[in-house]
Amino acid sequence: MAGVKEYKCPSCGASLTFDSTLQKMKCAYCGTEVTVEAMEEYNQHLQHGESEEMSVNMEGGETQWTSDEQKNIRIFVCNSCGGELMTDATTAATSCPYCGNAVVLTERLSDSLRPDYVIPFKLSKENAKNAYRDHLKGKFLLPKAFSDENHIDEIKGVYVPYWVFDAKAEATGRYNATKTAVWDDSEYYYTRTSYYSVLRQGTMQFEKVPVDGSKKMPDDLMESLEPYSFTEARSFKTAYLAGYLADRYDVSAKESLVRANERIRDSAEDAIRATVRGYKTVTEAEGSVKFSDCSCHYALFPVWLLNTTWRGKRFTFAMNGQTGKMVGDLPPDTGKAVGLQLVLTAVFGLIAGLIMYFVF
Amino acid sequence: MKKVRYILAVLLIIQSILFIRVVPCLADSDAGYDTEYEDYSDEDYYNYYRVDDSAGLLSEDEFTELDNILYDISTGYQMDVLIVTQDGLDGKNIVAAADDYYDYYEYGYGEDHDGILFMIDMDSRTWAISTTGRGIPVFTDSVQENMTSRMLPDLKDGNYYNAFRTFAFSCEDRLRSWNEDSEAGYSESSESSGLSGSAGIIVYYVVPLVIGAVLAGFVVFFFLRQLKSVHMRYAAGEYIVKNSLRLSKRSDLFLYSKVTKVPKPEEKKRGGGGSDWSSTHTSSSGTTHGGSSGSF
Repeated sequence: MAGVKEYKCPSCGASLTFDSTLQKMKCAYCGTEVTVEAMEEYNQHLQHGESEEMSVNMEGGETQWTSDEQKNIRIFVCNSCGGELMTDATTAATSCPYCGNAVVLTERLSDSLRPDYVIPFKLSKENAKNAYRDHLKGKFLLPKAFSDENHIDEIKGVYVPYWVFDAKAEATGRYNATKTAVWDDSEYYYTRTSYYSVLRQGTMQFEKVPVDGSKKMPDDLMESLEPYSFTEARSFKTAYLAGYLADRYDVSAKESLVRANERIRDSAEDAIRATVRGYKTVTEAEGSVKFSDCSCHYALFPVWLLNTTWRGKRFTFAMNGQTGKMVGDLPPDTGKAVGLQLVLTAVFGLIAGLIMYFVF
Repeated sequence: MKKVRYILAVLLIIQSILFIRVVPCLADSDAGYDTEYEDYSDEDYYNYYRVDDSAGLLSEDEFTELDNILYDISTGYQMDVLIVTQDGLDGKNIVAAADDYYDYYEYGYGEDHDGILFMIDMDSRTWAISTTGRGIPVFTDSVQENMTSRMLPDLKDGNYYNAFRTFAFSCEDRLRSWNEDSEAGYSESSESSGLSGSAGIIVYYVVPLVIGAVLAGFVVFFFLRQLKSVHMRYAAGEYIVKNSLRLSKRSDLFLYSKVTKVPKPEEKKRGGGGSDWSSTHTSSSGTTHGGSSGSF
């Protein structure tokens, strides 16, 4: 019986047969009726279910250091945490921005890739100190001791390595949607639910999606600093490194791709879904995202970094060196929190009790 | 040390707040009965026969047994439950006879003379129930009908003792369920208004505490969230090149529709017989009584 298509009822999945009286497809099991044309087109909708993995032709990130540049680069190594820091020949680094221990100058030439881009520091150390102070202000449950202890001077300006991805994404979405209409007569309330199959496919362009390329920089901390505005990025020159330390990447572009994939996919699906309008309910039945025209570049983003230890725990604060956005989780004063909870429970409880007393 | 002092201060505040709440409950809320006869104790005052067997239908043991049952019920629920048998009413209508009997002997508890009386006249073979005071709302017309229909077979067969027991226990059942249903409503007449007992404890103390804790929790949660600023970023929305979205396929396909209907609720008419209320009339002494009557 080759060539015979099977038509499944869109409501219950049973087989549809052609009803000659109605001149429509009808489901013997649930009674749903669908026109022949609609069923044909619906079958086409159902075929959009393939997805492909992202194939990346990695353009960029392949540039090598010129010999001149190599003369101007200094590499420092931290023996405690293994951090490798790069800076220009005029800058002397003394301590590791990650663990605070002393760093040592090595003779090793950078065997890593040369960055393609750098977003230069726009904000100074002074700006960073102020931002840190502001970050601590107005936080009711922050222990006072924390804001009293001052390590502010140890703020360091670091260039964090990023892989930035350009990609074209093609998103396909098939949705089940409904519209309803209500009316009534003297005897009944009526509701008519109309069921639709909605298909959308489209492409969009993503530019410079950043993924943190350093294992030592926590990914969530770095992502919290976003967005960086890439319009202010410049082609890399060693001069930008003067006075700052640049971390070397230790996550490969391929590994970073996974995270970029995830984020791009989510955005593409959202963008496509947003074009489905005018329905009462919409649920996704199938969706896929395909990538093409991918390229990635190696860039350095500016970050002001502060590490603090308080009561044996390590706290890291970071400020976006371009936009000034300051992030970093703060510890709670548990005693104060508990006290607040008890006092408020008593106050609210008293008010609630009085209300109950008068009501009952 | 500073922390310890801080905690102690907090606890002290809580203690004092709670104490303010507790104080009103220490007031005495005992309201005794309005007794005109202050030289009698309650026990003495209400110690009379609740069975009048003028028609001689009961044996001595049956009489005593019945009287004890009625005494227990009456004192337990503060509602006089009485049984009267007569042999001839001198032409009086039995309903009036029952009312007058109750009024003349001043039966009933409290200001309103709460009680219920069952009278049976062997001469006319009729019976009547007379309710007074609180007895009126407690023993509604349908409750009375229920009781008497269960008594009727025994009355017809001459098993008067059984019938009277049925009456007594039916009254007791009704009083028990009435008490359970409307504890709050009844407290108004004799106690200070408001819930008491385990219901009171829950509503006045446990619930506000829970509400307080929950609300406090919200506030504390808000302040704790203030401290957190690090999280993974969702998607890459900022990196989409503006207006680069191009749709290549777009299809909105109607498949089928279904209609459901819900019938509109009908207006219900209120029923006539067997209603849940009490009809009343006024006796010769001017007192309002509820009741019913019939023959056997």
